Amino acid sequence: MNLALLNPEIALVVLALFVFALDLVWSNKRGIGYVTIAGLAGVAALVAGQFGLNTTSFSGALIVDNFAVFFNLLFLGAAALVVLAALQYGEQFLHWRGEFYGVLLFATFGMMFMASSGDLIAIYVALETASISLYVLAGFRKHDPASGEAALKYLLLGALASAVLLYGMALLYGLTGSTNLAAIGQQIAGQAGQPVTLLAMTLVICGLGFKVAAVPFQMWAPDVYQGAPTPVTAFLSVASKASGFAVLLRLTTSALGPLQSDWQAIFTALAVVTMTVGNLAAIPQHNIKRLMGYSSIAMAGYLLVGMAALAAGGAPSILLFLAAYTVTNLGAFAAIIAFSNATGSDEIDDYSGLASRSPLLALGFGFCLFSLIGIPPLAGFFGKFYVFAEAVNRGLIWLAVVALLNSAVSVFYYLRVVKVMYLNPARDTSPVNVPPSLAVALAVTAIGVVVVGVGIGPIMDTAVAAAQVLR
Amino acid sequence: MNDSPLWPLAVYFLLVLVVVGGMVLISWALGQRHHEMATARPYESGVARTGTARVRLDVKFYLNAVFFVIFDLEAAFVFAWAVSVRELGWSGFVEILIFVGVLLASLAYLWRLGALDWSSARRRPRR
Repeated sequence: MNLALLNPEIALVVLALFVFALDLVWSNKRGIGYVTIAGLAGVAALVAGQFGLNTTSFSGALIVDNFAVFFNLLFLGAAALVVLAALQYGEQFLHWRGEFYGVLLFATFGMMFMASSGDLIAIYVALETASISLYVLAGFRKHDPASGEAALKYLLLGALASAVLLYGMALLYGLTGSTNLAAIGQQIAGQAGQPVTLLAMTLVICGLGFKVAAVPFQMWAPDVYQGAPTPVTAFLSVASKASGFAVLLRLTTSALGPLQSDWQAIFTALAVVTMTVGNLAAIPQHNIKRLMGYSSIAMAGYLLVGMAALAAGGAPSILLFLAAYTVTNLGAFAAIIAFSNATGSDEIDDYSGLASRSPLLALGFGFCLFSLIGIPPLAGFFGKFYVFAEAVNRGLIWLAVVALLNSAVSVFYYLRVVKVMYLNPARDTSPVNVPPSLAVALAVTAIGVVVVGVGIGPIMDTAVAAAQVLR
Repeated sequence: MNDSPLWPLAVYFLLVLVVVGGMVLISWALGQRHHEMATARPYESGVARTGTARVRLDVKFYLNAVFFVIFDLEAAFVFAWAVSVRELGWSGFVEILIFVGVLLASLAYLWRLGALDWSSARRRPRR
């Protein structure tokens, strides 16, 4: 038992409690937002200090390795950018803003544990900590019925998914007599062919499939993405999805390692339907948040291609994709938030002529959309390239072809937004006012999209180092 | 895994169905039927009912019930500490102090927020 390994997590909880306490006595809510960002930077420094440590504690329940460090930095960065993007949004649309930041920190805390847990119980508790905080965040616009609907749908379907996941975990425990992932991995090889083993694995994957919004567990995503406050949507689409994949990667490589051919088949099927449904359903959307919801389902499909191709050393491409996707999607949402702050609209038609109203905003949003399409040399291209290349290397050429066809479909609906912004005439020619905090968030992510793309080498090295611990 | 056969379980299950079904059917066939004034009432020999049960309750009850559930549940963790207090020693004591301290802080937070006030007059809306 080494308590010092928990320093970042403890610091994050103390920060969250401090934010709550500060909220009572300090009426400057924007100041609380800055304190939150500064605190997240401090926690990120503590996490970065754990790089290369690769150790376990609490009888294997806590794993501090490069994999966990990679994901924790991803969550912390996403949380900081979401807070930055929420500063102005909150002033206009949210009550109880101090609490908003505090609950966001608790969600981040749960996600950090999801990435660094080596035990089924710890994973479940971490997942619930993150999920319950996210249910609250989704309903944070208390007087907006859409937000309440989003929270309720997310809560009910989330509870169902939790039950499915727990059932799978209970079966895994019953089969192997342990909740420790490594111990399960050793025991389960002897039970490989049995139907109940397959059932346990399928239930666990279904429960986590909800978390990452894979088809057919995606029903909640578009409604929740549309109804939740936009910064929360941004957080859901990147951090929540990444945390789901962190657990999936850990589980499949350690606990379910001996069942590789079985889960590979499941992930292949999930990947094909998720990509196809996500991309096709995105085409007729006219609300930008709903469009991004389906886009994130499609992204989950590409990531599942990576899961299907997951062999020894196949994980770096997934980590790289997640990093690129996080930066890109946060940028896109920063632009969406900026636009809805100024105009109060999320309809794609209202983006008409944005390029002439506010050229920089349109440019930043356009960059992110091109990155989502996967245009080189932007970040999204390398994410997709490595994942698809991994599929080809593993002999899943037809799957890579399906993924490429889906990418081609996605060009249509992303470019439609760009077309509306640049080619359609503006109905309202007044410039869209972008507050400095959002301008910073958009600039950081837009530059990130380019930098991640151009300077892919060091990030790939980090992803390789992070994935090495997964056997 | 023990290899005891499963068929006794199936037989047992069938027997349960036969016995229960038999009881219901025989008493239905042989029994008498009544239909008097009090037969359909929830409590045949109780006080006559009045009004509907669908009364609108104040949402404040719900809020207080949530607080109760939260703080009541946390007591379970204190019990878990209490049964092994000697083995855990001082480090366990410090841990439970931190735990209760966080609980206390959250109670103070709720109080300060006005969540414990019954009348809504003092609850200040904040941005």
